[in-house]
Amino acid sequence: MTDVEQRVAAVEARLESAFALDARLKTIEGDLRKVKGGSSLRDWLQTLGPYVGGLVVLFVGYWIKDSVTLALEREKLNLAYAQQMPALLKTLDESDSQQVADRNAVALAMYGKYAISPLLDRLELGGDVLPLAAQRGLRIVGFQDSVEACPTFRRVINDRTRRFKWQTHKTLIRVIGQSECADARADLESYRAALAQLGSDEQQLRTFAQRYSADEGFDAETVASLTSEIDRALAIIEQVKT
Amino acid sequence: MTRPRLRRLQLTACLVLTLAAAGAAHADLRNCDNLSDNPGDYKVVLDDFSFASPAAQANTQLAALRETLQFNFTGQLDVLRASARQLDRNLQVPMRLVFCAGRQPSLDGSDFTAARAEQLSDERVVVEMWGKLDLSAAAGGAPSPSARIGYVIPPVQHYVDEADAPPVHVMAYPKTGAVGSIAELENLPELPAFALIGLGTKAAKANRYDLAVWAFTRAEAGIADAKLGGANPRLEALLAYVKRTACETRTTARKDPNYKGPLTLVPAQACAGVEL
Repeated sequence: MTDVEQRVAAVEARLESAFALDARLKTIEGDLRKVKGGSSLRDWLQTLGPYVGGLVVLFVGYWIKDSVTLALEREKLNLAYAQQMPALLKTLDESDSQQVADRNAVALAMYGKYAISPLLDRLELGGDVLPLAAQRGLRIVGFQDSVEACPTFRRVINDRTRRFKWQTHKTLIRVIGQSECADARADLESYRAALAQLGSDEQQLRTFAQRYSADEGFDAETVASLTSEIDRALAIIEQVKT
Repeated sequence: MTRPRLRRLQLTACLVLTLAAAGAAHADLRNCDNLSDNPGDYKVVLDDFSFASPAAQANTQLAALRETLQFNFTGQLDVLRASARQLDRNLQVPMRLVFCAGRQPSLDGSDFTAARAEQLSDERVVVEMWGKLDLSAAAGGAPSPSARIGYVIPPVQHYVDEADAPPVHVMAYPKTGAVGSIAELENLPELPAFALIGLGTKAAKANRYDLAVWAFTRAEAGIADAKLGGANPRLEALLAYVKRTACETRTTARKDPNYKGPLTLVPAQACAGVEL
């Protein structure tokens, strides 16, 4: 055998050995795949990890920016209302007729929940023109946005800190009915039950009236007036429910 | 129609009606903040008088009329308090005068709606008075004061049907047949009578039977005096209401187990037709 033939034979032998190795490797890989049962979550995570991380950072960044922008916008709105409302309140306070007062209260009510506190304050002032206009304004706020308004209305009738007159309670009970504040039902029933226990006893009336900003002038007539207002409000709420 | 759409339509209609009403009429009716002072007292509200002419406004007697009325009516209230105390030492008449500067309701009383009557009654207003003063000259004579004075009794307007008891009364002074005089305007005998009717109505609702019956009884005499100026069917109706309600209050007092006062000693009386 010549030298060339020997060398060709050696190359053939190595080539066969390489094919054999390749065949063994494929067999091993096939077995390994069977053992593993396909690609794992870890593989996926390793593959998609950098992209997912980037997306999370993107969304969190957007959310933070959005919240900050919203908060800033809200502050701007509050500031704008704070600048616009005093002029409107002054005009309301100086109204020289019921029609003008009503018109100003309606304009104030367009500020939604922001108008509730100044309108409540006008109820507390006493008299007839401003409280009647304020009542109209509160009715509109409750009609427009009962979700925001009803909890505030309920806070007034549940108040025990002597902040409001009984007349303010009465008006708010009426507005609660007109605003269809279904969640206030239990509050109204509890209020009515407390009133029903009073009777005409002066001492009991005086003790009960300590929840109002003025306890003078709270008598059996007041109790009857509040009770009938509660009955009307409950009737409306019940009617809406059915 | 969907519910939110219906709500929007209702709101729009409400706003349109409000704005339309606002443009339709203009009355010089200012809020009276003083009403919330002394919340336990019953109140007699005296509004600002308006003047029919510059001459009337310049008249010193007419210009000072409000102050004179205040003085006179304060005196009348003192007499009422003393009279009540004479009858029963425990009978208090917690009634005071309140002035509402700049408040000039329309002369016909059309500002006094049901809602306003309720609001004023809740503020314990028993009567409100307003008016327009003028100087009218008789043929060849010197100008003498004349006036149209309006009274509203908010508790009566709130609780009683208008046909049973008219709550608004607009009266001309001097009355027909009477001699025109500033003295009549300075005393206004109807004012205490109307105040007592309002007081009696509220006291009856508050189960203060003694005060209610006393007020109705005093008011009856006052209305009878006012009727002397001439026939007035509205005053007749009011007088009938006073008599009937006084009788009903006595009956209720007798039936109230919590009441132990002097009205239990009064014999029972049928109230139907008592006003006749």
